[in-house]
Amino acid sequence: MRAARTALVGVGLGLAAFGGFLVLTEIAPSRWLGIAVWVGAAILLHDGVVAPVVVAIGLGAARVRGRVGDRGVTIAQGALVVGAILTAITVPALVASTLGNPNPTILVGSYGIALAVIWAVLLVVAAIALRVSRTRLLRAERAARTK
Amino acid sequence: MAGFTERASARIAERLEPLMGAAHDAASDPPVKAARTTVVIGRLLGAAFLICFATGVYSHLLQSPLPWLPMPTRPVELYRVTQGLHVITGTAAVPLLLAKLWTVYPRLFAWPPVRSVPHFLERASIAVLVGVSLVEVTIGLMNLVQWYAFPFPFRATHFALAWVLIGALAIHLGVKLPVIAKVWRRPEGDRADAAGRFVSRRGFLAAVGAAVASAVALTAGQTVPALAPLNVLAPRRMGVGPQGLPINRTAAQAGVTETAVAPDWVLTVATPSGSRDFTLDDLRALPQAEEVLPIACVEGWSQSATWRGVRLVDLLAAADAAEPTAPLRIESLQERGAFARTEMPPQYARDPLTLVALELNGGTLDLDHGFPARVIAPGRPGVMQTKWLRRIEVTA
Repeated sequence: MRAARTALVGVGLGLAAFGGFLVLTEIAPSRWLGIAVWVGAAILLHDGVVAPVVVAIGLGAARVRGRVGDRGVTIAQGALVVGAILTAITVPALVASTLGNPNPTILVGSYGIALAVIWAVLLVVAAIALRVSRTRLLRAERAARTK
Repeated sequence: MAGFTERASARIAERLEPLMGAAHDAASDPPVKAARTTVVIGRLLGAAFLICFATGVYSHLLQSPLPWLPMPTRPVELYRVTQGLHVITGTAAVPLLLAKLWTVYPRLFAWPPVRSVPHFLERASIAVLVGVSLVEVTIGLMNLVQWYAFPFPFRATHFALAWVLIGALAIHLGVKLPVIAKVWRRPEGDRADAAGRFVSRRGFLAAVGAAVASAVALTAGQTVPALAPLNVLAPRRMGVGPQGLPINRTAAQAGVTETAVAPDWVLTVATPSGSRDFTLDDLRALPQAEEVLPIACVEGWSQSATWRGVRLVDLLAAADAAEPTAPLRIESLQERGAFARTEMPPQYARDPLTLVALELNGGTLDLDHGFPARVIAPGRPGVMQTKWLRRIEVTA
């Protein structure tokens, strides 16, 4: 264990140092600050915006879980995750489409429409799952009361 | 003065500690955000990063060859596979990375923030790993759509940060190895279907799996023919472009719309002993060959096509050039751009499949595909398949 850990950290330091060397030798000094800003901004944006929003959604899900039922909330959460990820990976195409590109063979999709359809499907799936889940929960509660 | 700063920092710590504790409690969900979940996701993310790194280094070596390291010319679809995999895996890494960070987010609010020098170094290495990972996938996705909004060059930065990322990953694995090994031993009471506060562990993994599968399914069709019908989110579509093939740079963008159709165009083949000019008719009069070879772009799209033209070996023979043992220098009519002049390592120049193509998919090469003549060689990135040829120089 100790040897493996030492080896991994040693190799890692070497690889990262080579990466640093590449930054210093292959990229103009005038660009270094830009790279550092982007790396720092990525951390801030994730830790300060994306992750707290996800935590808030999780807390919301935790609150309704008892009233709606586990299965429905889980499926709705899954739909939200899928929609958010598909949106995130399509944001560059959406933005670049508005900027335009003189090459007619790039950005050939209708990304806004595609995302709208995807979200519509996911919302329907989530709504059905929540509805079914809540109906089942209420039925089970009623059955428990009449017993 | 010492007393003042001491009191001030004590006050700050007093205020900060409960805030950090509250944030930690709000974000934590111990049964789901357990070490086991982190290891399960981390394993997949680590594999994804390793695939991206290996295929990325391969692509880099094709674009900037090392003289002592000959790159393979077979199978002809090799680069198509490696670069397609690079972009597909990088896309799949987006949900995996965010999922991994979700499981460890409460640790951000650990108190005290730094316990010791090793702890500080560990947190610093994690900050580097997280920041660089996020930037790598972000600029990778931006590059696919040619959106260069970042204040640094794409290729050099993506390559350099990849080494930093893999290094930081190895350090991270070294630091966390005891935790990982403990998970492998399957501790008692650690159930795979643990129910959490936000979501169950199985529900979480299923959501991440669905996100990975849908992200791949809806984009990979720009390089995987079987998935082409599902391709609604990728920047490129198979079959969309002049002669049914996408292009990376148009003739107008390259500034060759006039020079490429000039009636006095010739392709100069220079050798150490002299040079010879070939008109388009001269090239058409040489023996013609037809090959099916893919165009595989660094941006992750690819498509197979039927090319017809003069085998490079036949052209060099017609110019009385000896079999090349050093890289050829290939020049385009294009005046600017990193790939206006490229070098072709000798193994591609000697390869009988390498063509100076004059036709594509049964018709004269479209201006945007490199009319009057372009290079097409097996297993090379699209940017090295020089269009609008002007000059080929045999150096030895």
